[in-house]
Amino acid sequence: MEQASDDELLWRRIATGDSKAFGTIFERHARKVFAFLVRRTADISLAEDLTSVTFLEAWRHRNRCQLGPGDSAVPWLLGIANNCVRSSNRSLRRYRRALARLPEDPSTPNTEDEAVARLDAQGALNAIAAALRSLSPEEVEAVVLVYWTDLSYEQAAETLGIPIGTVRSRLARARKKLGASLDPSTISGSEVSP
Amino acid sequence: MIDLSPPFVPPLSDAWIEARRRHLIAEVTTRSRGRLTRRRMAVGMGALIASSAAVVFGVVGIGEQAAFAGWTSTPTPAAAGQTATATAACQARLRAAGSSAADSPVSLVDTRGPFTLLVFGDSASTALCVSGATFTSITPSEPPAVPAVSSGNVVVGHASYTSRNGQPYTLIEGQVGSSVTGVGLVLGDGSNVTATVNGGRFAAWWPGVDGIASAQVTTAQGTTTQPLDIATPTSPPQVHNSGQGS
Repeated sequence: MEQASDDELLWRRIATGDSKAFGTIFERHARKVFAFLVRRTADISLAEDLTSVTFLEAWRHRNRCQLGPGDSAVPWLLGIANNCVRSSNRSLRRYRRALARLPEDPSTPNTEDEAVARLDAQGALNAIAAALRSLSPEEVEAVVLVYWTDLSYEQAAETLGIPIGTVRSRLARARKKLGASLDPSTISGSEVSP
Repeated sequence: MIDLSPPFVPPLSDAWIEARRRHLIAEVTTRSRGRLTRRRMAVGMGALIASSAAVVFGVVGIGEQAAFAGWTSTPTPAAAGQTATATAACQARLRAAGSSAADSPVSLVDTRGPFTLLVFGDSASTALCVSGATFTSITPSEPPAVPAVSSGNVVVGHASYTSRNGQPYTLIEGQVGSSVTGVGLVLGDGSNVTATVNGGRFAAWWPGVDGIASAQVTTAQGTTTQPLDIATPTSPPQVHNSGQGS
């Protein structure tokens, strides 16, 4: 709760053009945004670039983010990230110059073991991607946000800009299509659908 | 029954976060300055507008990098040892990924300046690999469709784009009918890329994320236009696609 409260205070500074406060928001939430993007795109390299694009877009629209006391910036950031995926070609084009100035990736695997670990992760993502092919993009969004990003149904609805009932129905359809087994511990709060 | 437990995500290091944070702050600071400069220009005198415009154009140009310097829209002859070096790098990558395509024959080599695209595979396992001076990136692909493509036609087997360290690029690979001798691709922005055709397959790649509007298919009878309308390798290689650089 303290962190969420901090988000509101930080965003007030960001709205006035405080880039250092924005850097703090990045430090705080980049990993969550990246994880969402990896699971949403099934492409680790693309997710890294879209993480930067998401925050550049967030800066561009910083005055549209209205956080109340106790609010976290995560749902709003994930909404932007989701839009970046939907129109990733346009997003990458818009920020192509900024992306071209990205520093050399300090995380680039230096050893064969690290490379293999990264490729293993990619292989697992490819398998998941194959499994989800039967879902519509909207159903995939709901699955990634609620089951894999720990958002509550309300937060997922806020992120996607849709009614909470629509989130529920998309997840219900997804489960039905997949005949999926769900680990209840991965579902946030008490919003577990019957 | 599918297990929907969250897929593993490789962790981002503190160094990655710090490097990207610094980049982000530098970018947003530059953007704010650029916007302020433009506002001042709008209310300035004509002469000031002219001089300020030069400043703005200069700012825009800073950092503009040729992400794939040396890439050509038409295939070029390979330099001595270029194909062998790329093949070794790609095979190492494929083996590290546990792909059986590493031991498959190379069915097509597409050379564009310092970059080499290799198509590995047979009817069982296929992979695409782009190798340049600073990177080698592999992408799994579907084995060729059977039966063969009808004469004079092309069929796209794989089209995706990915982005590596801020360098997006698009890959396409497919089969050609027996009489096809050349394939030109018209991209969504109207530019042209000539594919390499060999052994019943064609392949090409280009920097950026432009889709493909059509193919100019050349046979002994002439050149015809075949609509491809893959304005969507534009559709992101999201969960539905398997394209991936590594």
